[in-house]
Amino acid sequence: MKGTHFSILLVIITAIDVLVPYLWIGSIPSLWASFLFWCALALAVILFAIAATRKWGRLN
Amino acid sequence: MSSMLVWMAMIFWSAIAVLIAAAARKNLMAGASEFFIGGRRLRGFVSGMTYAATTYSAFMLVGLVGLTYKTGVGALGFEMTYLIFTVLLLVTFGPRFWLVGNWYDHITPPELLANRYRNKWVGVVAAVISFFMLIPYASVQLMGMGFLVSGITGGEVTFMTGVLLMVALSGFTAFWAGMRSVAWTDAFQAVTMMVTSLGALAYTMFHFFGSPAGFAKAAARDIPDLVSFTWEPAFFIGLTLPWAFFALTNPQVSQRMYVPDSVVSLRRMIIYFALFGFIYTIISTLFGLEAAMIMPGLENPDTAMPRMLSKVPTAMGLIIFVGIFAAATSTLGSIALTLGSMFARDIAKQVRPDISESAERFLGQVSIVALLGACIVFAWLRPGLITVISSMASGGLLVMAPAIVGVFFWRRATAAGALVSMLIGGVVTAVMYLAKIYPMGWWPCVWGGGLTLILFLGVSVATKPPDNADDFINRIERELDENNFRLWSVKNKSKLMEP
Repeated sequence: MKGTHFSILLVIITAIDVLVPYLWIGSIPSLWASFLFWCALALAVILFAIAATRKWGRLN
Repeated sequence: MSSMLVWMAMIFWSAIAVLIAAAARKNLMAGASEFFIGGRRLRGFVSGMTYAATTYSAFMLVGLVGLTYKTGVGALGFEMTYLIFTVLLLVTFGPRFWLVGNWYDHITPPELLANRYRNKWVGVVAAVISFFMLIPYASVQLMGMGFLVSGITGGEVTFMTGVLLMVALSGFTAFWAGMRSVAWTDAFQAVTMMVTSLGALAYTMFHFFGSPAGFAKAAARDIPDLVSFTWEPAFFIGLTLPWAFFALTNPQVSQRMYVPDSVVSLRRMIIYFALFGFIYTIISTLFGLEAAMIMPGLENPDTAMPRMLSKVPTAMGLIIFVGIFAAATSTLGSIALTLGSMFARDIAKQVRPDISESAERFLGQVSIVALLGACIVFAWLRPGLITVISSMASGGLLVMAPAIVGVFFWRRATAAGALVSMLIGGVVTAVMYLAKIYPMGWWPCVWGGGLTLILFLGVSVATKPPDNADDFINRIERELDENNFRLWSVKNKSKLMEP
């Protein structure tokens, strides 16, 4: 991944990771809301990693 | 729990780990890189599991469970944030570390810094900071195990017995056959950690709450404060910031970016680790919430998991105990091996550049013994500042992050910038942690990290970059382009095929 792509992603994910819990999740007293948010975010990043690395070392 | 059963569980499990180490030793060849990083010949699954077992220590089933018990789902956010950042860092920095490590035969992360900045002192300083921060961190693993063993046997097995047993096992695997042995036993330990914790979670969930839905209902009814996100921003950021860059700043994990035998294995390492971390994090935080409902009102939240062991049938308790023992032992073995390699490579070899590879390997082995000895003394002293020291360890290593990022992404980065930022940033951060200075409520790692970044940028701009900076970065970028490492690459000239 290029440095610029990494930086952009890092800023977006940091913003989501910090802002959503404080602006939204914090006001919902629900186990599912918190779990769903962080699990979905982590899973999205893992799926992104799987997709982003799919060509690594592939013979063409 | 009967001390005889605990002994039997530890001996049985250790015997399997020793057999695995013995099998790993059969494939051990000569040379320093063979001993310290497995000759860069590890396959994807073993690489991924050793990464996971090294990263996820006893902290997960003791510290994180306690943190969740006390502060609720914020702990899940903290640990998931760590995982998210680690995956992104591995995707970005993994290929770069791996390529450069292969080109220049790097064995330790500080070698990368010394090479890129053309200054051996950058590597020496990074190594010294790692020693200073990681010996207390490793000792915490030992102390945690000592307290756990002593606690669950009612003192029949003493604190120091638990400490010494753990040192013996982790030291043996690291000393005997180096990374190959550590990685194979790590893989076994990671599988143990996952299987035992999953089994224990399923048991406790159904035994105490009837079903996962019953658990969720009980949580909403009994612990409404813990299922809401209530962490203060300063606490969340202070705790998360050092861990977010853990993959770069902690040499025992960043060294693992050198070990896969191909880019395919590197990719599998990242994916296996990510999936392991995702599941293990959920398990640990669920244990914390369960404990808060089963045993409310504990004075010391860190005792939540050890106390859970007394609430489940003996066999289940032993299974959980073995999982924690595995987690602590694997982390300690990996840290000992990494610090041993750094002593041999980044300190001894800088003093005597002409030493042979076998001498280098011998020095690494001797330093593993010495380091574990230091950890035993540290654990024996049981310093009262243990929580502060462990926070300092993770916060202190953060000062290496700007210099490491600069290696690959900033051509103007200089040795002076790296040295000044790591030295001053490290001292300031450590002093603030030890003196408990939290200006405006923000943690020392935030101030220390900010100061480090400013110093790195300012001093680098004011000094002349090394002549090799352009060539170094251009070569990496070219290679990334040519080998499909890009996100949206259209080039199809793969050179680094699967073995």
